[in-house]
Amino acid sequence: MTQRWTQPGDLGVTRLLWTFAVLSLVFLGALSIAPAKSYLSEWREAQGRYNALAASSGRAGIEPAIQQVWKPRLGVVDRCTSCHLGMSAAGPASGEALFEAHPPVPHDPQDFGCTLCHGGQGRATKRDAAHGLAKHWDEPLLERRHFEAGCGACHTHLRVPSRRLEARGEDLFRRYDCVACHRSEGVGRGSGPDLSSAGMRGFAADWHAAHLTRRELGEKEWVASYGPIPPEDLAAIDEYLRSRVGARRLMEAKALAHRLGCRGCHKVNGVGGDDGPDLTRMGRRSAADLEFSGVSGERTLPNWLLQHFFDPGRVVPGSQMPDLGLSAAQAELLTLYMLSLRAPEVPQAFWPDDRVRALRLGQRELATDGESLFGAFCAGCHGERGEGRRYGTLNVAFPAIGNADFLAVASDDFLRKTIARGRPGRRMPAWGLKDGGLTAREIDAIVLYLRSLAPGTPIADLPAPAGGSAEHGKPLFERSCAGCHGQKGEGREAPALANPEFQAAATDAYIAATVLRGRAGTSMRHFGKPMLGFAALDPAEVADIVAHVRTLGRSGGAESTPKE
Amino acid sequence: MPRLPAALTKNRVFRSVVRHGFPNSNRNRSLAVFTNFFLHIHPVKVRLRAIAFRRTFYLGGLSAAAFFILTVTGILLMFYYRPSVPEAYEDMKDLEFVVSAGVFLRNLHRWAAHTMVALVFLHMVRVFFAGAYRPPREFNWVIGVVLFLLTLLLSFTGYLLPWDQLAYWAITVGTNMVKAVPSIGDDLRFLLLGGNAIGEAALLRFYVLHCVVLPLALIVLIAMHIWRVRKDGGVYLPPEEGAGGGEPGPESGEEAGEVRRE
Amino acid sequence: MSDENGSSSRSFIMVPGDDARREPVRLLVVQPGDMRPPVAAANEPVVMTFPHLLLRELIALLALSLFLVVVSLAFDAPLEEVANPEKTPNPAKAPWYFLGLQELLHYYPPLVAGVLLPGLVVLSLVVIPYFDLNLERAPLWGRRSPGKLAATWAAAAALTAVFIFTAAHPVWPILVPLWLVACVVSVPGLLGTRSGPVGWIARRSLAFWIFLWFLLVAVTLTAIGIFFRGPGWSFVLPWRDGLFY
Repeated sequence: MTQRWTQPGDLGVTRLLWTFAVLSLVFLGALSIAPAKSYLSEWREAQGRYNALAASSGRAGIEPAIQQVWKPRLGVVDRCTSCHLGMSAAGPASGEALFEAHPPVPHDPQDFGCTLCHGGQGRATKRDAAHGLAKHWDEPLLERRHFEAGCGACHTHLRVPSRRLEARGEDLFRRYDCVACHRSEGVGRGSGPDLSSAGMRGFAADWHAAHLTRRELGEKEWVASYGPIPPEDLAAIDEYLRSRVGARRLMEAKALAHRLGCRGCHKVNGVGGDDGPDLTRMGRRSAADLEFSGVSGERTLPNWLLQHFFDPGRVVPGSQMPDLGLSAAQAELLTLYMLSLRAPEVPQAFWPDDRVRALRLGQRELATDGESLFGAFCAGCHGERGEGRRYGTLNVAFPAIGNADFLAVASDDFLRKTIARGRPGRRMPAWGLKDGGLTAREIDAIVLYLRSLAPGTPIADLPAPAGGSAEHGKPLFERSCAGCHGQKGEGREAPALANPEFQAAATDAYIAATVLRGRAGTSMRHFGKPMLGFAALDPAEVADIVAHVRTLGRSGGAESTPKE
Repeated sequence: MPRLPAALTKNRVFRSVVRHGFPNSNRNRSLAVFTNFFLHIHPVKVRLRAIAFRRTFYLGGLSAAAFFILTVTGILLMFYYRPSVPEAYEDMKDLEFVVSAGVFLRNLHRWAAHTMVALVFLHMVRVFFAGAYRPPREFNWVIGVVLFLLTLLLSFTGYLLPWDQLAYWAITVGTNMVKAVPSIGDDLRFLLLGGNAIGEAALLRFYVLHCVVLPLALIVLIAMHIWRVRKDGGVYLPPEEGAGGGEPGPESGEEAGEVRRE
Repeated sequence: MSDENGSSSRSFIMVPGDDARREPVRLLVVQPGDMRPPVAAANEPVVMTFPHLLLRELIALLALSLFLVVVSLAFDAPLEEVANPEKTPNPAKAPWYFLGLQELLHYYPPLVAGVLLPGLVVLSLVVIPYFDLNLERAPLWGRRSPGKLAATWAAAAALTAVFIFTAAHPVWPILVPLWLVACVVSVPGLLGTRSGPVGWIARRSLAFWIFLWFLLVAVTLTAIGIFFRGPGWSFVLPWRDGLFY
């Protein structure tokens, strides 16, 4: 080797120079690939097609550039319009779906950008990344069929109407022929304001009076078409109008969730039971964090939710959530509702009315009549009409609180106390103001609704048992009651009698009456009459049992209470 | 000589920049080094053995080259980057989506950083196994060890800047180790992060360390490092394999001391 | 363009006896014409820095740049979700060059793994040149040296004991390289020869072996940290469970 180098002459410099020259060229070539790659972008190609379409229809094209909607206060930088040019200032071009205009929605898309409602990655300028299909991007685009879930990005507290009132309002809306002048959700023929999103935009509370005034002014068509409406009908129509927010399916979905009683176990925005996971951010859950081993099909949040609704235990092993026996359409609706729970971080200045009302003025996001409240918070466990429930996967049966026998012996005070304080340690949460957040008036409304499930007033003065002996009661209890209520009254499939809140809420008379009468239609049979080979208990025996039940409370049948 | 090159070179301005003639004679080749900055790094002539690729694999030079590439790409990146909390990550996204060749720029910086860590490590290993750390180069070896640590710190501080999950948790793991330093661990970590947890203050500190403090320290030490190599006679060559049949003699034969004794 | 040296010195090489000198080269004066340098000539071939070395350096820089450009075109730097203190990834890994340390944390409390051991390594790296006895002149191994052999194995055994009794788990990544090095070191002492590869081993200094051990440990720990650690820092096989990095 050395020999060659020591020879006089060129000594490899020519070779070095050639190496240098070739490497330089290769290097420059490789270096120029990067800017070329960033020039040949998808958006530039799309804008080329747009310009070709525009030219063929004789319109001016656009200068190739990245378009964006920039809303600094909302943290929105959306470059979607770089390709979706029909929604940019350039205007739609026919011929390609990509260049269509935005369908009419309550808001101007330019006001809030795209990603706030639709999800996806606004800053991205490549298709997959922008649609959020990229790895390490948590918020994929909401599918077209779920677009209404995007409303949840701001409208966190869309008000669920009273079902009955709303249905009546809708009926009246047709019968008073409001659609003669107005349009609502595609129905109607007049030139009056479209009321499809009246609930979101708000409407004058005195609209009826204002209409009458117009009529009295004597305009011809008004005289012919308009007349006074009685106040109770007005209330129903108002309820109907308030629930027209321009997102019909979402409202339907939310109403369903609040009829099935999801919030009996789940908190949303701080309101609800705490038996199940908090759902406030459910719509923003990253598919990457979810377990898909029990889910067939694509690994997306909507698919996970849908399959979860059909079989919670399969998707989330050990889930306490009952299989609700939902229809496919219901599961789809609930999925939509879940997706709309987006826990937005928009600044207060952008809060919509519904959110301000709920979070600043303390108004409920649902009608506060007893039926609506019961649907939202109680129906999940106790059944839509308080018929009680026993879910397949759970070994606990939920009491039938709409049962006539129960309502006959339960005093209002008992019901109120039970709702407000719950049954600590059991699945019944406390719903009082400090816990579940229901006001005394709301609890009263629920009690009233319960009463309406089995008309008839409670028996005013139940005979209170007297002189019972706990000692005698013990064997009786163990023979007749312990099978369902547990040896120490800790509760098995039947309620826990040792529970301190039960002990506090239930009077002796209530317990005695329940034992004697039973609950028709449930496992609790009446012990006052002989049945299926069991001898009837006489009042003295019942008194003994009551006395024994009282000792259960003191000796702490519940594991949490220490024995005395 | 054709007229145009002559017109370009035979004037005062050109002569003020290039002080030597066309390097086609050994004199001018000497002057090319001698009258230029290169003299700080190389002598006019080097031994043939020292420039063989397989002796050093040019690892030291390549480390410096990686640092040069990192400086250039790093400065370019600084134009697009704001070290504050939502912005840092957003700037990463903008770099990816709207800056021309922005991804490429970031890739270049990132991969060059990893490459530099590897190169510096390999350089250190090579130098050790060549025995080049021995007197009189022992202090330069120490400088080299410090340079290695600085390289690690530079890479580590840069790791946080994208403000993504990878960055956040890698730095969390890394800085949690600092807590283990006896008695001052917690304070040290507080000093490093500007708080008890990684937040905007930590981002700013890491940014300043990454873009100002550590590079300056590295530049100063690299200059010392190279200067010392130069003064100690260039790349260390073991004495016994002298190609010119030199006597095995004391190994300091090619060390600077010899020259100073002249 | 004038050329004072004429055509006789067009070559880039300075052969002994020409104007090359014994290393290190320090060009103090450039002398005109055929004046001879005043000092003795070097006894090995030297070349002009320009163009031989500078061109090579330029090519090396270019090659590195080209390599990085190609890598950057082919692979995108990772960018994950925005930092979220509430979402801990599992496993949370440090940058790759710190994974050796993180792996060490698996065996030792943070004080030892994060401060003491790396501190000692850095300290010994700093100190090594000052304590180097240059054993290449007087090799570590004489002809047969049972005494040194015993000392080597005793030291290895002592270190093994220290590492085993202080660690939470068996520190294989430290112990295996230790015994590997100890075995290789003892070969000349066992065989007594000083020629060929065995002689090469015999001529290495103690510092060489210590450094080799450090190097093997660092590489092993880092490789385990990168490739073989998964959720909860459990041992995983990358070809079976995938790469957690």
